[in-house]
Amino acid sequence: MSHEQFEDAVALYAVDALEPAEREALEVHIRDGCEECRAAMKEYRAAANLLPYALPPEAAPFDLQSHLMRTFELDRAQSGKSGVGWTSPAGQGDFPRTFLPWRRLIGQPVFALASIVLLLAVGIYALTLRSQLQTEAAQRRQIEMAMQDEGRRLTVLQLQATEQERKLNEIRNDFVDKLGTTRDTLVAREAELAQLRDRLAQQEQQAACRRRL
Amino acid sequence: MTAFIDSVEVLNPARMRLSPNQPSLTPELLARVGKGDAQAFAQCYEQSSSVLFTLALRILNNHDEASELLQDVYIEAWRKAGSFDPKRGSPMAWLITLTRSRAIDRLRGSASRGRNLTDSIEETSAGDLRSALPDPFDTHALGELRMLVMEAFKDLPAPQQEAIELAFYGGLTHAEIAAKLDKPIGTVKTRIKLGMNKLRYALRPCWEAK
Ligand SMILES: [Zn+2]
Repeated sequence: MSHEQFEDAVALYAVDALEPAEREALEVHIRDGCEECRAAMKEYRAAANLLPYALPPEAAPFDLQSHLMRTFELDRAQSGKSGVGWTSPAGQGDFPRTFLPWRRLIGQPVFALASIVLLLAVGIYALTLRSQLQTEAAQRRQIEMAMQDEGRRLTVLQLQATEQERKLNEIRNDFVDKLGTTRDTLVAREAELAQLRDRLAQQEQQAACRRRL
Repeated sequence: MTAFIDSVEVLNPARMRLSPNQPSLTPELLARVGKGDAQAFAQCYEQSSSVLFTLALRILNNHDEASELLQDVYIEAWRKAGSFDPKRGSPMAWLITLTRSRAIDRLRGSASRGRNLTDSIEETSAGDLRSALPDPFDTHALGELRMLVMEAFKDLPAPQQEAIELAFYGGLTHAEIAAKLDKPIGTVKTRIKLGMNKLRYALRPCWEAK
């Protein structure tokens, strides 16, 4: 295939419209060093990645973020990625091996020393275990706090909703009041109008009588 | 393949119009996500969730499925965040590519095109090539970007819009689009080519210095 044909294929590649064989051929062509196709590809890909911005935007579901945050915290705790994470105690793996030939050592002064070292090591190990437990407890607390935060945010939202409702009621009452006043005024005006009309009719009659006379 | 990845240099976007009020989804932020920084993840989510959900919904046309998909995408993203290579493109482009390919996977069933998009899209040389992008998401405010892209897309003739949408959101190849529309393959190829070419020029200000 000629470079021209490949160049045509780049636009289709960018929106993933090529058949698998054509795609592979184009990749080989670019890998072989066609700078023109490489440069075109970068721009076409940039344009394709902007396509979703032409869609009418939709908000992600309200509860997705809190759900993901909880999963993230759990994932983090499991993979030991947290900043206060527990690190395996140095030498933990060597510890039993050092003390394997213990039989030969019984009765020797070195054994007493070894026993002390063993006790110390066990002590350190126990401490480490405790700190691990503490870390896990801390992580649990963090998660609980995150959940409490969610709860608090919900309460704030509820408060806001109540407040909105109250304001709405106020506006409605106000409106009803005003409407009532307006109606009263209207009735009064209508009465006045009726009186005026009556008077006008009387005057017209009188005028008609006078004309006849 | 690795040599190819390394040889794809990245167009450096001009960071001239960085909007000060919009914290952007930087490679640094993504690196913090990779280290388990929950706050960084929350920020990353706020920056990207609307666009990614819109994209997933457009492809899957089902609210619950799009929501479920987005959940999987974010989990995959934070697990892979640590190995994200900023030389390969912008984090936002990476997330868009990931969301699109997972959604198309789901839409078509992963083996339907004789390849597994899960493996092929962003992990092979093609993926790296796809991600070697300038970062318009970093230099433009979201509203501005939407306006630019909407205008550019609206300016395309309807048949070109249709062909591009069937490929990008429908996951169809040119031959499949031709069959669906009952048009010659050459016509479909030309429509995509012309449309994408126009978009490329119209959107150039997004990644070029003003
Ligand atoms: Zn070429």
